[in-house]
Amino acid sequence: MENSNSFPLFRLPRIVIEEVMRTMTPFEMINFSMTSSRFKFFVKSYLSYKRNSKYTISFATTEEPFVSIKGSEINFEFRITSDEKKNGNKEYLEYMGRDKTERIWVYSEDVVDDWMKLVRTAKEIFTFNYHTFYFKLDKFPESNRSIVDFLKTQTESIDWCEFHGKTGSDTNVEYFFNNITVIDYVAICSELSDYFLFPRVDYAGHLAIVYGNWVTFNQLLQFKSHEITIYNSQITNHELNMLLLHWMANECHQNLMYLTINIKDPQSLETILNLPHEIVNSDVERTGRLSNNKTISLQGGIDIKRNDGMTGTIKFEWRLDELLLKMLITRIQ
Amino acid sequence: MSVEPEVPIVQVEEVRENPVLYKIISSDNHVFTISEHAVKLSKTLWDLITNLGLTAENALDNPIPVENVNGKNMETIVQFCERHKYDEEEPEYTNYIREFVLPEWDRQLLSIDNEELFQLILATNYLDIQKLMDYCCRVIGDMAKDKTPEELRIIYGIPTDAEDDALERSASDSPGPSG
Repeated sequence: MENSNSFPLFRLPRIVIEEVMRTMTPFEMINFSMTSSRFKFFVKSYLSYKRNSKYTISFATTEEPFVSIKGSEINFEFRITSDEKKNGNKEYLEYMGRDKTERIWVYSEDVVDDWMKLVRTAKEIFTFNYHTFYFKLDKFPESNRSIVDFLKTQTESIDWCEFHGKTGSDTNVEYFFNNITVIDYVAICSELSDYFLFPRVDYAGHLAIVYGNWVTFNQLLQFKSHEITIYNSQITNHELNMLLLHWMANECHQNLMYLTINIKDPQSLETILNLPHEIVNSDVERTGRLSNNKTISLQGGIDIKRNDGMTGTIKFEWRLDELLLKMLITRIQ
Repeated sequence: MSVEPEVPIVQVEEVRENPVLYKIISSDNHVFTISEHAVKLSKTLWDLITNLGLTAENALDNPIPVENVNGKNMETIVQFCERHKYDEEEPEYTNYIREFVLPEWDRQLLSIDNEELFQLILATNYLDIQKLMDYCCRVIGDMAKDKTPEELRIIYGIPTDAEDDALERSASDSPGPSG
């Protein structure tokens, strides 16, 4: 309650309170919103009318779960910690003069619960046009399901998500995809069992799979993504050859623009290329038009043709100890 | 219009570049002299001067009464405007500019107690002085730095939900005007 030493903010004209809000960071706005329902409503309406109020949010269930809010320039990152000594610590990071982050630690006895409160408050007061989620599946394994249930109440879809963590995560990843729609980017960096089935084969965004042991030829044929990146898969060279033949016949991956996949047997590339193809001299430069209408410069490569005139330009590149097949699909200009 | 000053006029520094001066009378009849460049920082005062048709010749003979601002606040405002009258126009704030630091002179000027700061902001709002408003709001916003919700509630006198509810209940329970 107001006392003689307090500054009577609410007795100022609304326009002046808004000027005060303008000087505040998302840290302060969120803390303000936690003071009372009336103030939360005020902050929310201020942010909704503010010009250029476009924010992105990243949230993560890492060891120190965090919520990061980015407006025009700086990431403001709240980290929830179970280490009381870190409470109130601050850090400012700048990378290449561009990526600027202000980080603050808040102590909690129940980090998952307080992380959820933080996400809920941020979602209530800010309008976000991009949601990024990092799901560390082995950090709070007993809470994974409730985390997904919670996210479902907070957002209809997530634009970008990454899964990390060790084995035993199949059911959690399945549960996530059965409940949350992802739009733009999925990276599954967790080691899943050989029997995992990706539940959203209709997903059209970029699909990146770091441990592709579970990707069967049949699953691979069904993916609808415009960009597919798979490492450590067990797909054979013969299956890769079959995949390319299906693509040439326009029987799969009609929307594909980029494909990256490891080659299990680098000694028998001729098996993969046992199909009509043309080797383009490496000093030949061409321009290709992607299916999203953007143009891209091409140099050399091995061309294969789809029956509608699209060209897949293949290159082979090493990544650590894996040889990769990379294919870019364009209409050559 | 001519009003005899009841207290000594606050002197402003000599302005060689622009000798036009205006007189302002506060609500408690303190008289202040302010230069043309300085008074232009207040949209309200400059509009008044323009509308009253004051010129270099008649300005000092026609003090401008400002009934909503007392002498104490007007003194601070005149000092501020004289200090910043030749400042280049600043770009509009983007959100929470990290690099922005309130100049030391201004921080000293605004190191006043909360009630005085509150009254100064109301005066600044009335006189429409954007730069001073930005600075005052910065001072108020800085009070929130590194504070928990509970501390913010105390600093800004924000009632809890329960206190808000109790206030609403007592307001609705109180008898209305008798007809």
